[in-house]
Amino acid sequence: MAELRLVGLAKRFPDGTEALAPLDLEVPDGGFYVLLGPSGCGKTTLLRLVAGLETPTAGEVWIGGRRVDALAPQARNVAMVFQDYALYPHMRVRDNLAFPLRMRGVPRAERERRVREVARLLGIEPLLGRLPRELSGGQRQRVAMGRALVREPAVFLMDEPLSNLDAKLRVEVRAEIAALHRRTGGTFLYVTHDQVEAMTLGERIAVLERGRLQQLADPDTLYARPANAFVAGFVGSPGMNLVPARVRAAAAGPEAEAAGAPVRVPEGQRAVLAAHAAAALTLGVRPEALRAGPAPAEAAWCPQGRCEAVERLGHEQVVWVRTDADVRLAARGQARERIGAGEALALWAPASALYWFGPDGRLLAAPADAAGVPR
Amino acid sequence: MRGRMGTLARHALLLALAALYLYPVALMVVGSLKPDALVLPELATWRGLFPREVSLQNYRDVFERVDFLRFLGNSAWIAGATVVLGLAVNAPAGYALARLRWRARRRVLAFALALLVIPFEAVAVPLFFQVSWLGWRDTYTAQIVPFAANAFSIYLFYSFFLDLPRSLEEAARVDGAGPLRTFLLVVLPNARPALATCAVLTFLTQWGSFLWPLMVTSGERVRPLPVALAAFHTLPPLAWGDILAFAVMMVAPVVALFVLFQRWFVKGAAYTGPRSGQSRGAAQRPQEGRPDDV
Repeated sequence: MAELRLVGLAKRFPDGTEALAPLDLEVPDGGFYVLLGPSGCGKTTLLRLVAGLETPTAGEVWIGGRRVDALAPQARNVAMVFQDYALYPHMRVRDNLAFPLRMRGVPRAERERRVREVARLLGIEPLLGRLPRELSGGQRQRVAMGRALVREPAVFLMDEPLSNLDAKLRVEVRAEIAALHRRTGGTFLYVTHDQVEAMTLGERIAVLERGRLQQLADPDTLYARPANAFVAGFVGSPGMNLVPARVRAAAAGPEAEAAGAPVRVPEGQRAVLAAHAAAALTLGVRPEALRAGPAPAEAAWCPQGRCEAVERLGHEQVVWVRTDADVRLAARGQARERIGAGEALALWAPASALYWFGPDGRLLAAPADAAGVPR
Repeated sequence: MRGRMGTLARHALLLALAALYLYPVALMVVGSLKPDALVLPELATWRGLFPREVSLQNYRDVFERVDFLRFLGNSAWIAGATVVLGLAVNAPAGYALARLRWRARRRVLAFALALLVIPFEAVAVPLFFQVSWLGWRDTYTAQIVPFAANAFSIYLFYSFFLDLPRSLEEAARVDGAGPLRTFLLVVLPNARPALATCAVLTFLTQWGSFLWPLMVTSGERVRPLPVALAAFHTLPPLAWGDILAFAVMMVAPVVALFVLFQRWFVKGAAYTGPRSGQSRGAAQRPQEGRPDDV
């Protein structure tokens, strides 16, 4: 096991597309880091650069104090789980698992011992004699993991390993991956577009967009103090409501207005907003902080609108509202109250839920008690 | 009832067509079992297919009159060696065109495809000069080497490897295999359908090849079956039963081989994706704007 260090790593394809802007990242020995972002954001390219399947345009890759960016994939001592598993179709499970060992000249007896060990760890012992085509999706996924685990590599790379499993299996295997990480103490770099996967698995999450690192933080910080509007809108289900806001400086402090409703700016945020008066700011409110019903005294923002759709999730529901100022908002709350589409709704958010983002999308102010001490 | 009549009519039509195509083959087989003197006179009668008596005398005659086993051995060696050499050359060529990135890749591919439209007869004479210049006349080499590299085989491998999921090779690379071992241990074993197709087509072409061996062979030493059959035809006395027996023995090994290989032939690419049937290869993965080089 070893730490992984990326220094100014960048990739530009021959046609000029910048897949990855120069990026620094350090995954400590035994760390579980997740690369999160929408498709095409460069996360898979980053993983492939570490594996050696792509050549970087610039930058360095260090694994355990050894610079590897000029080495062929087979010389890097990394293991990768592919999105489509890439099991060798003509080999039985046993031979699939033994292949990395065979390539490294591990003697037969040792090979067999380690294959059995990994098979036991993953509960795939009864499948050793089967061909990949005779396995279910979940079993194939396990074999792919086993093939990565079997030779105890310096770094594990995982490229959306759960995306081909059905929802129930995905939750199970997710827990298994977390357990495997604990048990093996390996260094993991895990790519996903699924923020639930990222939040539940990652010690730290690197959010990428259009080839740029947006934020690197632990899950709590990512949620409570998103570095910019992109991260705020991407993380969360649904993501944070982002509403264009106008701020004016007034004698009594800054006055703001968003979605046709005035915003009572909390004490702690006044100084920042006053400094950005007249700029095009964005107000952010998490859907779970936006409630339907008559506004109580602590309400800081009360937009009005009509219900567009309701997604009932059992214990919860997400209400989609089109405000009178034609802004779409999501409010998440208890599913007790039945709300019909087309119904007029009054929403409100407390002062403790307001985020402000600058014209460049950067976070200006978060609620005073936003959790997540930067680690 | 109507449906049944329709089925009946359809089967009758199919049987008639099958009979039409199988008739010459049947004549060949039956003729080879009849006394020489009766083959031609009974040809157009029903006795042509249902002889009064059958015997293997014609087959014995063939072996007495010529060294049939020598010709059979020659053909088998020439066809077999071309197949082996051809696979060894064409599979890596197709792989290089499909996967490796090198400067003239596109042009070489276009050139190889252009070769497909040139009929062999057009190059037979220049090729003959070349082979003579190399001193290869009357050798096996002249009948094997020019047919090893084959544009059609290369194209077949090329298109097969294009469809093979890239992630398989990438997995092999990460697992520690170099380019050569990746090709030999992961790519080739999964190319069995393409290998079998190329093997069968090459074998059949070589087995039936007549013009070229006729040009480059003069004695019986390296003469293959088709040329030997033609020579046998002109060898007096003219015995049609013997000629047909010769023809049957020439065809039989190929039919046997085909039946043997058919299983491989039909078996499709055996790639196993996330779930059976829906192969999600690297080809469908977002390649994040990677263009094909020129």
